Amino acid sequence: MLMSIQAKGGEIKPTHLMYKANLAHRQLKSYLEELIEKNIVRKISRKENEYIMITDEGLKFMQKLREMKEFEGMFGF
Amino acid sequence: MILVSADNWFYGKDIIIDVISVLVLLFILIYSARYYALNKKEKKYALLIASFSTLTISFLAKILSHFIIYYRDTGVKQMGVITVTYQTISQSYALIFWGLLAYRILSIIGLYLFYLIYTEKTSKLNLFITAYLLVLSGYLGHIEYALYHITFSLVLLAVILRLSARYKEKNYHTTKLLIYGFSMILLSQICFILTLYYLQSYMAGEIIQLAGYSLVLLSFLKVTRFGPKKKRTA
Repeated sequence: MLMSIQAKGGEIKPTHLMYKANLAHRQLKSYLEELIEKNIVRKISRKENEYIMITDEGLKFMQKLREMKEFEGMFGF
Repeated sequence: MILVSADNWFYGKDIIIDVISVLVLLFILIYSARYYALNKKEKKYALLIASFSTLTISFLAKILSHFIIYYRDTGVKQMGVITVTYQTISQSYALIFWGLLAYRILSIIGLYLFYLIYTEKTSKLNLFITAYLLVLSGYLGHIEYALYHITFSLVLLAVILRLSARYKEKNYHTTKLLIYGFSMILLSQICFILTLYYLQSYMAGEIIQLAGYSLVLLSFLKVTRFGPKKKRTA
């Protein structure tokens, strides 16, 4: 999900995210609630459209995830 | 029994090298714990944490023992340009004995835990027998100096071979650096074995060990500081 949002420049419409992340509507809603609660993403409104945007906290989290993947790669996990 | 041997200029410097090794191990330990918190499903992190904790404690035991050897009530003899520290019967001896014993046993067990990351599931009986033999080897290493270093080298070689197989498969640049670092540490073990014949090889071993841990640190920093760097041949 987060990679899909980032691939779209950090913000994406919920419907686009649903298709990009290959999620059902109920799954998307559930995951989004969790990510918003943890301040990883937030909802914004622009020109009567709703967007999902990665927060600074979310960007830091993604960087950590990338580091973790690279760390695992280094040790050959 | 000779506990430590070194040229005058090197006397006590091995403690500094070991402190640097501990710092490298601690860095990796802290980051392993952080990543484990992000992904608790990955049991390999638990093994990594167990391995690096054990290795860190083993080095701390070694540092403590060497500190006592250098700066407490031990007999020091000057033989030309070589300074040899002999054990003396003192209260410090018990601490030195247990410290070095803990270092040898824990470092072998720590390395074995690291090796387990790369092995398929094995029976508890196999694990127990292997662990028992390694502990025995660490203990006997206290009597037969080379035995500990030979055992440590063999386990380390097994780790390097496993890592090399992973490198061929996944081709991470940092894995290659890690393999170089571990290979240097393996070379340092050979130098420690040669101390039986050439006292100076202890210093060479410590310096090579420092280079090895520096390479491990470098590969680790490349992951955490400079971001993902993945080299693909395809």
